Amino acid sequence: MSIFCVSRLPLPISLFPCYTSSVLSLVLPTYNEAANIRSLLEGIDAVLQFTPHEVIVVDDDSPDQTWRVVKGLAAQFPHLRVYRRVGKRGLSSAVTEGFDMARGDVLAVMDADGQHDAVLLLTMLRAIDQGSDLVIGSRYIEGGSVGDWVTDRRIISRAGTLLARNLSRVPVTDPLSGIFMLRASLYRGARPLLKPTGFKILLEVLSHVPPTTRIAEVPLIFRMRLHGQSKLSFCVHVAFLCQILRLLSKRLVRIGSLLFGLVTLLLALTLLPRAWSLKLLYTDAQLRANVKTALETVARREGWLLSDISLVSVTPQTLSIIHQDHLRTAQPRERCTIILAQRTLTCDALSQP
Amino acid sequence: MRRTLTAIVLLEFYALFLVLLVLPGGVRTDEAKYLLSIPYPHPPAMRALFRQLAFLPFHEGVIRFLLATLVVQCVWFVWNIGVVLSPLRRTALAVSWLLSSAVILQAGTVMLAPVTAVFGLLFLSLALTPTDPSPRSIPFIGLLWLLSLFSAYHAILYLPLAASALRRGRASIRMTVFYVGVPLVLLALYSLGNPLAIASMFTVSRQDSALQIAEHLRNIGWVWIIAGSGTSSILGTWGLLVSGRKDLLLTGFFLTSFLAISSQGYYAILFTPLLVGGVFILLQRRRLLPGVFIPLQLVMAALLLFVFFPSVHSTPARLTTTMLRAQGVGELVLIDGPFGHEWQYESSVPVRRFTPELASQIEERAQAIVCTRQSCEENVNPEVWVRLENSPVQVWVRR
Repeated sequence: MSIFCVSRLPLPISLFPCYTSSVLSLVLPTYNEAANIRSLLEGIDAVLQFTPHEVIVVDDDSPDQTWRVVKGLAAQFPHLRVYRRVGKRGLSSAVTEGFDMARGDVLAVMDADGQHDAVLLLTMLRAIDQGSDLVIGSRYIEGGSVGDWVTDRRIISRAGTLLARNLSRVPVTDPLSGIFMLRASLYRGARPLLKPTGFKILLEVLSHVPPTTRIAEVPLIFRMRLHGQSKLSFCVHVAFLCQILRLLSKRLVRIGSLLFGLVTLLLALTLLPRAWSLKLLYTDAQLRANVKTALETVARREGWLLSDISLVSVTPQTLSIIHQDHLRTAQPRERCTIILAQRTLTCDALSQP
Repeated sequence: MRRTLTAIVLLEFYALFLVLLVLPGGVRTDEAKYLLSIPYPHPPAMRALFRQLAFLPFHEGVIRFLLATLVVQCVWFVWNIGVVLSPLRRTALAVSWLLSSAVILQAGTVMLAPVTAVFGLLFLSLALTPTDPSPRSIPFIGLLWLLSLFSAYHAILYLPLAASALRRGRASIRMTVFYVGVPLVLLALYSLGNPLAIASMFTVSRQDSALQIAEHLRNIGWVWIIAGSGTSSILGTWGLLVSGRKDLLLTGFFLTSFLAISSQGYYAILFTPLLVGGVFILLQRRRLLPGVFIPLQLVMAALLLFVFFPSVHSTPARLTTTMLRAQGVGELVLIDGPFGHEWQYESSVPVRRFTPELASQIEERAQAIVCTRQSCEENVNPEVWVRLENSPVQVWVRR
């Protein structure tokens, strides 16, 4: 189905056939992708020619001057914008900065190395039109694949995915995918909570969107990069682990209130019986005076230090205490009862704490 | 990274130096109280931990070193507060903590005041750092507040800072009251179950009430000077006054009010976090020249260390109990006159008070009588007891 629609973007697009009523902002984070970017943009242009869209290339000041190459292509691709980030690095922050400057009501991101097929964007856009809030290109659903990855990378990716799945607030099969599309309203709602560090921005988004978010997954067949070197390095793995730990700790922190409640409740349950058993000391001044006198008399007779005595309970007739000799080597304890009227004392040795 | 590691190692050497300053003097009464986990006056969190480590060889030294490490390494919180400052100003801020005479004189002691000061510094850092604490950290600030209160009652003096830290974490007023209030209620509950803790606090506070006002004010003055080595004392107070921050000023008011009740020298370190906050405010407003401040703080710290150099002499308790052990004294030791908990710590047998009313069967069990008064001869039967010569205090052992 193709209808004519007017782009809402201030772009040199007037009337053209499109597949959707949404305006798509596609963000391409780049770093040293000068060799890949032209063919990628051509592919995207071919796929999205009937869809109102803009392409935002966010380049981290690539040494191969990807940003300059993109600028040079601006005349050829009128929907293209380029943002050169100087002094900043990181895929996730590049994506969020791209999203922040996007003008469309649907946002998407894909790798700029040719590993993602641009055709997938149309499938994802259709899913958005059908009511999904977030659409993910998944390597792990039927029809998807990781392509020709070596075994090591396959295992690491799988392990990372399994780890990350538990952190997503909504169930998905591929929370580490690099290609996804979402409504701008959903992104803006989650934006203040996002910490765009590391390389896995989708995981960050999934950890912060509402659990009611409608999610669709479309099969993604991962391709080999066209040119250049993979950026998957030891640092990337460390950054991913840090992100996982941060998100995990966030989940733990969610139980912070529970922990506080539990600790305070346990303390209250421990402290309350003892305070209760001594309540007469606070309500009966006469008894308090009797206890004071009896305790001092017994302490003088036994040679006890008051600092070695703990009050346990009090009744109008008796005072129950624990006497403990504080020594470096051992601290023998005895439980004693003082008859307040006679000021007599009986003690039983207690086992060491 | 390498610079950070180097700094950590250098700080450890500094901590060791601070331990060596106080180690030769042996265990003092309050230190013994915490090492033996004597239940008064403070709640059990820290002292119970010290006691749990009693199985370690050279327990006293290990605890001293752990506490000194804690106090010295928490300079990283100070460093974190100064993140907005230039490197030199940030260094000056760190110096205001590390070269505070209170830190120098107290970091190596087994006291709860330095631990409380560390809690104070934590709250200060949460209340002052340019990046607000995450709202998710609110329950953990509550737990930190709870831990601080159950470590020492003094932590209550930092209530305004704890509340301010919670507010910075975007806690509502109701939540702030909850997270500050619940630990306070629990502390009150603990105190109700341990009335002798409250009684012992009253006893300590009464000791100061016997002082002349001039003497009391002089003590407070010295506490204030030691807290910031003089330099930070003046500048930090100035910073606090110009800051206009209610949390800092209220904490200052609480601390001063507390000192008005009890002006013991070891409370100086409780003031230090606040003075660091004041110095930070001056550094931030560029009213302080770090190039002048750092050497001045260094000179003042050295001077005050010279004036208040910790005693290197062993306590009479250590010397006497060593003699008694050599005499093979077992079972029980009686002490006539006032004595501190260091006697309990140094003694290998239970220590009891020698009173006129002492039951005869207790006296019969005793193997030695120690006199901490001028003379106890009138209370000792020479037919039963023989006096030991060359002891630092009068000591009798059973014939």
